[in-house]
Amino acid sequence: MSLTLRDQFFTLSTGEASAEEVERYRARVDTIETEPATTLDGLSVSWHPTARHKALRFVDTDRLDEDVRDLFARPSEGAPYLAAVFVDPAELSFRSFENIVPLDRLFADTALDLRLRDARRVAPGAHQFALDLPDGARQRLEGVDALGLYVPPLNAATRGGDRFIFHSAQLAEALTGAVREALPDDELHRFSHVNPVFRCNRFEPEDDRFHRHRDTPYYDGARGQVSRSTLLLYLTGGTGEPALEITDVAEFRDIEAFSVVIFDQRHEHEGRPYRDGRKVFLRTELIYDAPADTTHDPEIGALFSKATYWTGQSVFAPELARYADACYNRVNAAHWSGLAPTDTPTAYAHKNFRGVRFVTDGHDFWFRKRPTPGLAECAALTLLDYFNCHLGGRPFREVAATETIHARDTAWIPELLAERDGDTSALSTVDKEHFFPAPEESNGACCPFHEYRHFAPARHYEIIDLYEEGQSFARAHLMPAPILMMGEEVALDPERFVIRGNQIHVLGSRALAPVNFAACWNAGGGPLNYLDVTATIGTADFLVPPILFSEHEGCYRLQFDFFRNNWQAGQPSHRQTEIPVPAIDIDDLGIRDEGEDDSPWYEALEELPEDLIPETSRDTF
Amino acid sequence: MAPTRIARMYDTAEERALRECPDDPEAWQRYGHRLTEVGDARGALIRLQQRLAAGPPPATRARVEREIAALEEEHAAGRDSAVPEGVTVSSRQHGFATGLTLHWSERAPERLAEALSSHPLVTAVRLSGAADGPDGMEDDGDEDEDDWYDDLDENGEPIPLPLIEAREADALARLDLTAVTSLSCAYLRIGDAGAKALTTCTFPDVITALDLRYTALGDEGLIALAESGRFGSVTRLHLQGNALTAPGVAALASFTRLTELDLRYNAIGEQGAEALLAAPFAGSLRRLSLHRPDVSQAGARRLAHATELPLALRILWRTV
Repeated sequence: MSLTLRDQFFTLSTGEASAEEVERYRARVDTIETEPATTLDGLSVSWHPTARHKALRFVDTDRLDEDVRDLFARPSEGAPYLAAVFVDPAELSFRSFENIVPLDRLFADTALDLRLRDARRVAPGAHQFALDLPDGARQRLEGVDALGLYVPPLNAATRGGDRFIFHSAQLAEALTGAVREALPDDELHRFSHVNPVFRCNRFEPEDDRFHRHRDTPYYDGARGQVSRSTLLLYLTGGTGEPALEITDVAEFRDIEAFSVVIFDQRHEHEGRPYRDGRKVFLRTELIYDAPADTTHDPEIGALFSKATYWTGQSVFAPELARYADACYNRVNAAHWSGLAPTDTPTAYAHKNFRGVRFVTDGHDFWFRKRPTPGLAECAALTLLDYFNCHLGGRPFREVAATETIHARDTAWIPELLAERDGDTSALSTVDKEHFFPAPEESNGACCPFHEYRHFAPARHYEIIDLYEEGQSFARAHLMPAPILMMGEEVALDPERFVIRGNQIHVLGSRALAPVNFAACWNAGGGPLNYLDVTATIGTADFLVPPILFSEHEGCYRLQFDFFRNNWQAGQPSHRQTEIPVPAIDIDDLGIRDEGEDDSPWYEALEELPEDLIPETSRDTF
Repeated sequence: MAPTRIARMYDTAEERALRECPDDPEAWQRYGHRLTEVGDARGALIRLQQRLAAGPPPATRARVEREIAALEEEHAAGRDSAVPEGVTVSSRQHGFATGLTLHWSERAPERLAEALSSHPLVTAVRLSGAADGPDGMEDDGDEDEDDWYDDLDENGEPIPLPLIEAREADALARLDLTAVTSLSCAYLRIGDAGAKALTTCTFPDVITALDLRYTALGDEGLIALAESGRFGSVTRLHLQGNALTAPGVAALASFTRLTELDLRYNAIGEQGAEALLAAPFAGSLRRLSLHRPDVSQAGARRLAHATELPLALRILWRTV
């Protein structure tokens, strides 16, 4: 049944089905509540649409769990290594809301000898070129449109057309060479490369225009690089009214296929469909090494933080998409000319998580000051909301009730919280040592064969060694975790929230060391058979900058500027993992019932992401 | 030059204060002064070690460490000279024995009395069995295949491991544990008879930590301990690896001040879980060690939603 459901999705996606057919299909999907097949990048994924898993994404097939990989459709004939997965939009956070499709393999066996010719400087910082390329490369690029990878953009309320994002290092490298040869020297100062992340856009003549906007500049604080120019590569030619307008700079009515426009990102621009056919183009950026004196206005960072936060929120409230988009545009403009004042009211989310209320604009989080929640709990709730963490399989933003309020100041917040906030505590604390009872003393016994019924597994030296190894592994993951998820309950470790001055530092994880051993066992299985899983604890680990806090009118105001201080580059900002906790099973001779795992501890370890599994293997025994 | 004599004081107020609060630095300071007054070199040792713990400047630190090392070296050889045969020091603070391990035998009570008289700061006592062989059984190390059958009775059923001998169990009743706040019989198979003997030995109701893990304790023995009314101060109780069931757990109700309880590896079942929740200490527990097989699936479900338990413990059962 699910296979039919899966395949029908792609059949209906061709646009040839009637509205009634599509509606029937949607109604059917709404009744499907099957469990996800696997997880990927922290998102639960299904191989067919379900009532929850409705957002289509494309991922490299090799990244899917081998056991279920074949269930996923590979709908793109041109890129058969891409699997179609369905995710729950409620689980998306700013880290995951964009699906960057890996298309590095697409150009792997194609000569990409690109050259920009017929340079025309249409205005200062704006150029038009024709792209010379081999036939093979041309065919591959033309084929990108036909790969069938378009998914609706999250900010569909502000833009027309279809779009997908892909990564191709080879195409970027070829364009980098062409740009170096074509741009005047003064525009190549500090030029590094063309961004390998491309946005493929498609507009049909009847589509809405892409409203006037600025492109979001690329910024990599760790590498000290920023984008300064946008590069548009038109894969089809046509005439628009105009096809591209760079505000107050230039208009392009007629565009040839495989022409390239490069312009300074500080300019606003607007795109309209061709009136005489499909318009397909790729957009990316020219990346430059940032000058050493580059400064970052914290207000801009805060606004960007809000923009990303509200993009995530807009999944649940589509009217907020335009607000998020306006935030992006203000940020983009501010990068070039400073932050301009605005008359638009700010959007605030008033949230209620299990009786604890707080208000946020995506950057500042207000809590009523009371004994519980204390600052650590306020910080934990801030992180849970910002990263939309999972609680017992449900995303935080789904569990917490949300009311959106538009306001021009924050004066109303203390009063609202004083009136509406209760005295309950939403999070528990947990004594992590509880998970790790000390091993028993060894009694020097040999093995179940020699001790028969007197064999005490919890006192056998090899089982104790294995138990200690298991504890060492679980400790390494549980002890550093600031937040634990136990079912739907959330417990925090106050010691992992260190308050210094006006900052809350959230401490993260560390490494672990495995232990090896060997033995003689004539009966009763082996040590592995006696090690069971007593509990599975979810951990949320964060790599985040300190959270600033202040007190004002009976409220804590926490400021979480995730995009300042380069924290977003390089490493994952947060990670949720399910960690098994070991226990010694004293059942007779380690024999388990039919259908039960013989070695439940190691079976549990095998379910973990590869980088978490300790190096010790079954071969040791 | 610091005085080097080791003086013996007899149950001073300073010693009593330390037995009550062994981790109180001010009590140690007062004791150090008292020792120095009577010319005992260990007074200087306490002072130096406290100074080291306070984190002196690097230059001073090296000198303090040297002085401590010299004092310890001078007195290490003689400090346990008064420990009788069968007794070892298991823990120390500032060089003073605070814990003893007593190899259990018929003569053990007298040896403990002797050891306690010369080590006035001891508050923790462990009674231990033989070191060789499983659970204190002698192991001749010359086992062959036929030995295996020696462990079975005429019906082919395994013969239970022996308990300590009756006269050794009786000897438990002669123990004088007046100053002891932590008593462990861990892994010593005293059985129910030994538990009953413990209820009659000499001690005020000041034991706060009682470790009876793997002692072959059954419900009968635990009920006897509970009904004696002499363990009302116990806050930490280890009972893992015994033969306890629901009636035994029900008897725990008289351990009214429990905050840490380890009942693992006792098949107490769902009824045992219910009995536990009915105990007056259920809401005060900070740590409860039990596995799902100990209480059955139904018992685990009950514990996961037991409002009698603190939330922090209850939610742990939602992950099993």
